[in-house]
Amino acid sequence: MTTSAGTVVSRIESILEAILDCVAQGQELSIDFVSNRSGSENSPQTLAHDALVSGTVLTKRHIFYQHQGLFVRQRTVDELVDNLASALNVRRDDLNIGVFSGPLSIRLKDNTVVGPATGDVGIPLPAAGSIAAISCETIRWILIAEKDAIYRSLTSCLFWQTSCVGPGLLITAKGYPDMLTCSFVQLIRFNCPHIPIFVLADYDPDGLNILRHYRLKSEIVSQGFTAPAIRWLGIKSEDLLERESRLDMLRIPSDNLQLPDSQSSRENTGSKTSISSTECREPISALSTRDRNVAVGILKKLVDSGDDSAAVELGRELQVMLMMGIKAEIQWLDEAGNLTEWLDTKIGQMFLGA
Amino acid sequence: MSKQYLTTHTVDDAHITDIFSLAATPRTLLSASGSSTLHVHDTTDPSFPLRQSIPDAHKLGCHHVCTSRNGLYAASAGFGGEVKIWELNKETGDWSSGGEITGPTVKPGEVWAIALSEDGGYLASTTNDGRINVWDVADQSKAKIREYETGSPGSGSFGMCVDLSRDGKFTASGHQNGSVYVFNNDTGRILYSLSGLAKPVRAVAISPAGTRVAAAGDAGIIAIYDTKHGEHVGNLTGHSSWITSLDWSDTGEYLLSGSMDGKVKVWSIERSVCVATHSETDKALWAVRWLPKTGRSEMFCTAGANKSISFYREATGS
Repeated sequence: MTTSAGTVVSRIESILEAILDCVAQGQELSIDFVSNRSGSENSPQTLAHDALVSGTVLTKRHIFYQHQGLFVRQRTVDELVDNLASALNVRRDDLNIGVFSGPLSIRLKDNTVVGPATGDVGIPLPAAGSIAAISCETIRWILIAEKDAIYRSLTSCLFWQTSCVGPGLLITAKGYPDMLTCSFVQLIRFNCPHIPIFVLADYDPDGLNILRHYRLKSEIVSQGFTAPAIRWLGIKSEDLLERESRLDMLRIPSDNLQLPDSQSSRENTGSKTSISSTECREPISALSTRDRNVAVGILKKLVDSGDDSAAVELGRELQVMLMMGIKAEIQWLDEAGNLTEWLDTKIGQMFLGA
Repeated sequence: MSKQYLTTHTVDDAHITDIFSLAATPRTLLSASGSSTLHVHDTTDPSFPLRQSIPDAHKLGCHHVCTSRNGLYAASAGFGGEVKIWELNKETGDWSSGGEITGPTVKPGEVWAIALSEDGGYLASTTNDGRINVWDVADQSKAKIREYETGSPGSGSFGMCVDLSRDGKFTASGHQNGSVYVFNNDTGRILYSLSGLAKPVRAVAISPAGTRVAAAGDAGIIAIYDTKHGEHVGNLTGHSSWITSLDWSDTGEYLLSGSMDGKVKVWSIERSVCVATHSETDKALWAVRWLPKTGRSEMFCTAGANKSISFYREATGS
């Protein structure tokens, strides 16, 4: 059973009321909240409350980027969202994490219909258990974006409709996928195995790990049934090398070597989809010590898990990433050209190769 | 006057994944890759057969391998952070384990690039936070005897490459932020902090006589410095991609360089020009190495993302 937004809202409100009571009565503040980071309890709650009351979709990344100093890492937000869900005694899924957009209609068991999500904002994914039927005849591909910012940008330009490859579906779980999103992907794979599913992730250890999570958690364990694997669209090392290491194709984002006319040429791309991130980091940066440790950790898991071709490919990419010493965010694709064009080309190639 | 080199042989699929590093001895070539196995190729035979295979050397793959100039020792560093020493049995010509560098200072990710001294007695390594460590590997305890900081403690720039001079006097290191350092091993101090490349430095090499340091990386140029005054004495330009690997010829007359677009170049140091360019692939070269001259014409080899090792020989006598 899905907890209604109203229930979640009232639970948050009752917690806040309790806090106010404590303050009013001059008592010591106490809140039944499982968290290892003191002082940060209020923020995700407040945001969750605002989002639910206003009926908007709350994004973990949104929380993260509004309070970067507080959370430091996306992972911290992930933990907090989990903690918040458990503190409110609701499932994490009820906090509206995964969203989709595209011409997909989902009929629920109570006969209501979710979608199609044809607006310029997404619709929260319903829980797989509540779904009676999915009609995806109109969809030719599914693209899972690691990042909310990318998802929003693609949704707002209606990429699910305007793609040269035909109509498709956009999904994001805003970072590491939650179970609801994974079971939804699993359900789609099971019901529509002919639709290829692509993942677009950052070229960094977390991005590759997120891809790994989607693959692992939406695996279909059913005898005699095989759905094509979830495919990795990018960013891969070859994409980076193609554009970054070639000095004769000079395109340098932000150093002194910037060519005088590069500014104007960038302005010309204004009509294209421009993805602006709330963060100020470079789209390409050096791997940090943490990145390297995470990469080695994933590499270990991949080596231990045996050697299917997907694991071998990921392992190789992690090694090359460590050798190159750099990572790239999806935004880089937009800066290096045009993300939607790039996606059209890549998805098109995947179709031809399939 | 350009020089002519011919591809004499290519060992196809020498490893099952990218080859990340090569190291030569007078009679063999060691190769390291993303797989757990190290390979030893016989360079005295024109078909360069696999002489020895060392399985399970590095479970997560190996990013660097190096040899001592006397050909008796090798060291390899794996993605899991481990560093292993290998010894040559002079009777059988086989390599066997000579131990591992362990201890609280060797943590995963703590060691990246490595270099052995001429006699194999010392190993220099770079770290995540820009330090350069020197280990006494001849001793059983394999103790750390030097630790150079480059920047404030714990916050230096990632050490991408390292080299030791033949006479053991200098250590040179190249870093992610573009800096190049030369250390005096006798005093244990930084001798020079060389700037100028501004982009990641992926390869440094000290000339055989110890008078020059070559450094190169994402800037695509090779900067040459002298070790006497730390002066920038010239640039070698011509690569159109990141430079990943450098190696001085035995006499110091020529410098070999390899890049991400698969091109290998031979440079005349005296004339500051590129005298030969070759490529067997358009995929990344991760390592280029001269083979120690053994009476025949000069040879070098290249390896990288195409999993193969190509051997080149100078065309002589015409």
